[in-house]
Amino acid sequence: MTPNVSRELLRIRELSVTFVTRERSVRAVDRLSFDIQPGEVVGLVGESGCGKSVTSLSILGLHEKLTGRVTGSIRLGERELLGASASELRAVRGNRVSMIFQDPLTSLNPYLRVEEQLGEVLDLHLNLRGPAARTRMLEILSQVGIPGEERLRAYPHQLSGGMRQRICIAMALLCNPELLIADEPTTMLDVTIQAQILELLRSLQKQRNMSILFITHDLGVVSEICDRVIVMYAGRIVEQARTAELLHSPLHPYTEALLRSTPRVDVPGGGSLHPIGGLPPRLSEKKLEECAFAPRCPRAREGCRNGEPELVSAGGERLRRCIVPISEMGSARS
Amino acid sequence: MTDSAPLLKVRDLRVHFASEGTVVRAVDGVDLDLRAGETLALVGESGCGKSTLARALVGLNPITSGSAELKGHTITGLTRAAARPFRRELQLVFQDPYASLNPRFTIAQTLAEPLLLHDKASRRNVDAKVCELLSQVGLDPELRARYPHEFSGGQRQRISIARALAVEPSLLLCDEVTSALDVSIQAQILDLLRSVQQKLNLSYLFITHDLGVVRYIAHRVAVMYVGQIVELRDTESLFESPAHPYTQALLASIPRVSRDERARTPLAGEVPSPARPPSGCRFHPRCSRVFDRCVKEHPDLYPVPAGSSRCFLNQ
Repeated sequence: MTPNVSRELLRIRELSVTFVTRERSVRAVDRLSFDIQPGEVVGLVGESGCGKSVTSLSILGLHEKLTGRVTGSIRLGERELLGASASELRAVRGNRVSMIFQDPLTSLNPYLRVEEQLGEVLDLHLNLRGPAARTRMLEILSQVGIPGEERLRAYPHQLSGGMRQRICIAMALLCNPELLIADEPTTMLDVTIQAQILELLRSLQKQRNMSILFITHDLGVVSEICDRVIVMYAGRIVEQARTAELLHSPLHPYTEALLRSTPRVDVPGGGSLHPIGGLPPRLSEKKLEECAFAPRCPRAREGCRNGEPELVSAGGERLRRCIVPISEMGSARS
Repeated sequence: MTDSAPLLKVRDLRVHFASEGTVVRAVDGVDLDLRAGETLALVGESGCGKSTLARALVGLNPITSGSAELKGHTITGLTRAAARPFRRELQLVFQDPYASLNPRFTIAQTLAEPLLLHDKASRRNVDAKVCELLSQVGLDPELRARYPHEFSGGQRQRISIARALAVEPSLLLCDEVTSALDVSIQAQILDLLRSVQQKLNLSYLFITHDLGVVRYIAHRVAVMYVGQIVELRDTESLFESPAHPYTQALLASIPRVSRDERARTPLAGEVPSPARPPSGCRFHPRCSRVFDRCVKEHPDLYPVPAGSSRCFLNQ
């Protein structure tokens, strides 16, 4: 968080996304600040509606489709993306930042063969056509583990789910982006295929020294791929830490509760489950004068209802938004 | 659990579909026993036949051959009328509670319908029964005049469970019932299912792809691959010492919170089509321990500690 040396690839400050409906306004993302360094894999974790996907869409300037009002700052290197013109954003999207989604079938055009979809990217972004484009396509396909001419002639429906996600990854990497935003890219895949895709993303990330913002609800997936993790709850960051630290000794009761409510494959009986009672707050009814997690928090106390805690350092680069003394936080599993 | 005759007995069940001139062997010779009060998890990757099997048991998919018995009565190959008394005993709960609840019915209407149809309540006491069902699944009976869209995903899944329980079944077929839920809510639903099971001595055939959930909820596990059971074990034995190479690969593929090292080799290749199952052992093209015999001969289920495994290495 030192402002003098700006080495970071992505720098987000006080990002808020507000959706205004006739009756009320809903702040889906609330004053979010974080950085991503070059070559770093950062996980953005939380449950449905916590604001993780909205955050990723606003980085690419895709929030307009969501009719949200976005304030704050999103800087990619030296360039401010918030408020950038459509043509400036086009120069960033696909070239410097690209994205893969949960469902590869809906992100591919069902009417176009793989070669047409990849070819379009090469034509629009790199001005590459003909045999040169074809060489590049074959090269990227073999990098994502599905070499061969016949893949180029396939339509999306002729491919399996895992292969479709590989095509999406190939398409996202054609222009050598510095940042890949991956929004739940393995959630719809079977575990053996998920393992293949995580392995692939990891090796491509290393080869290219690319940064990844990895959005997921699965803490197991986080442990496989992320260097650092940001946990969101009700539009706010509640904890940020190196992956191993976060998973072994969470310092926010929400992170702790998430870990304790996930059944374990590696513990007899699946471990003991401690469900989190209640539901996340409706963002339109969120009380600003208390910690948003307090109503569900097993460690809540008097002070939790008197104002929302600040996000403060808990040693090193660890951040937490909680007033419960660190000494009281147990390890993730007893 | 009791040692008496199984509640559900499935023998050599096959469900084949004709598709584009080929035969898709979605379920291809499954044997299962399920005891009263027991949870049997059915796991495997997409297309392994686990959902087809469950749907065949309740008559939603036609059975090609084989049989299923419930409490000693054959429930397969029956006419609609003859099957009706058994429909009540087997209830399905689906993954997406929003798609499986009628959006135009209040919760009270949704729950009253099966109660009245199956004579579990009369017009006079149906409202009291509805309230009782809702409290049983942890919902406030005051909410019964509301519509499905007014509830969260977890609450809707509670309503689906209440609807299944309305007709006093002996077996629930749970098809990915927590897959659409966030983990904190999933844990609530798993706890609910456990406590309902203890109270009512219900049996569950629990279909899921999440092996963490399996270890938490199941007494026994059947692992399916391309239409067949490849391993059937007591839960802890399966997780502690998986016998079949496919089960071993499946367990190794799961990302886990406790893993410190990141080294592992994912299972190569993809699940073959049930329209063209490989020769011999169906797993042989992806198996790291394959030898000559696996390519030519089809293995049976061989006994292993606390269950059975379809692998020549276990013979």
